[in-house]
Amino acid sequence: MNKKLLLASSAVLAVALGVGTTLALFSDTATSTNNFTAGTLCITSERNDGDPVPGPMFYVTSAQGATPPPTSIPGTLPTGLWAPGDTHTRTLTVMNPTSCSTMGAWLTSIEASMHPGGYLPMANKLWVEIYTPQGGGPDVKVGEGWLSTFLAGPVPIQYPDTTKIPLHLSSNRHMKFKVHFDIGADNSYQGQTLVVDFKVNSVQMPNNP
Amino acid sequence: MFGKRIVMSLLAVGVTALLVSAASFALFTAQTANNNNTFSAGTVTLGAVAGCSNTINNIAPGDAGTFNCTVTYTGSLSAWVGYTATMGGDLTTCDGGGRFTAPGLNLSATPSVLGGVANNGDTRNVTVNWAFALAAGNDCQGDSGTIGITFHAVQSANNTTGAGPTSWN
Repeated sequence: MNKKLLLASSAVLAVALGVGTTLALFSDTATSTNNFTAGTLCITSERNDGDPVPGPMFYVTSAQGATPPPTSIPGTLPTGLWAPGDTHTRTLTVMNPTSCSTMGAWLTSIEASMHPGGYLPMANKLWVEIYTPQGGGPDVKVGEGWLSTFLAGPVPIQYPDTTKIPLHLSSNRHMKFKVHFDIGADNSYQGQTLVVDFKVNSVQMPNNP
Repeated sequence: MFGKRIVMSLLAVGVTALLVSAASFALFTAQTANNNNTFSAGTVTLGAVAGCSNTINNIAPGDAGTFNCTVTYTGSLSAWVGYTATMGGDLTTCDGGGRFTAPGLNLSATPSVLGGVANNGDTRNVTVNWAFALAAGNDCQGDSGTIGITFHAVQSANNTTGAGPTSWN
């Protein structure tokens, strides 16, 4: 019995010594850290018909079209008061700058929002058309509708052949806004005013053909 | 027990589908704005007519006179200004008619243009020359007549032939 106990103790001791040997081996590790940073998509815009920037595309008086203080440079292309039948076209240059963006974009839609106190029915008499060059060619119409439609939500824009409108990284695109005041506007529209913000929406181009 | 597993499996599939679906719409987007675009409609308005509310009593055959009707254009848009005239009352029909007249007045329904395009503050004038014919007989005694002048204004923008408006309404 004592002999058996001795043998068992020896075995345990042998295992313990063996483990101790394993822990004493030379070792090393090499670690490589892989960092993943999501890119950013941002687009910016400025009016672009020779006016100082920033400022609105459409304004009635030079003062309304002035750049914000402290520069307050008056606008140079006021529309004047609108009469039924009037049409004015202004350009918005949309940019995809590397200062804040890392990927190309598709321009998908345009919407508008109205400032409080405006005469909403007037939006039903202002017809908006959007033009932009396709490829290296001339301007083509990519979207249209009553201003009220733009106020109701994004109006999709696309080339006449239904392809998407690209805005590559570090590039810009001229978007012409042609606004027509319906000749059928009656006297109830006299003296009325509407102030809106136009917004251009985009979505990432990579992995989104 | 078996039924519970089926339900759990279906739930798992559903949740997975929702996640996949949500992932499909998780593309990066961006927006840019051009603010404070102002659209203001102008106005086409006329001020009160001056010098044109006359009461001339007891006219006799052979009488004649002149008065001027003047209006000021007060709208913010450029406009064409014109006028129409009307004559009425027994004095215009008595004794066979034609005894009480206002030669040269535009009695048609279409306005006559007064001058060129009017801007805010411009005035337009209509001279009314009236006459009660010496030949008017007793049939006209005690009768009354009226001469009405109505000024009209309409935008000139997108509505011009060069000499007047394409349309008055």
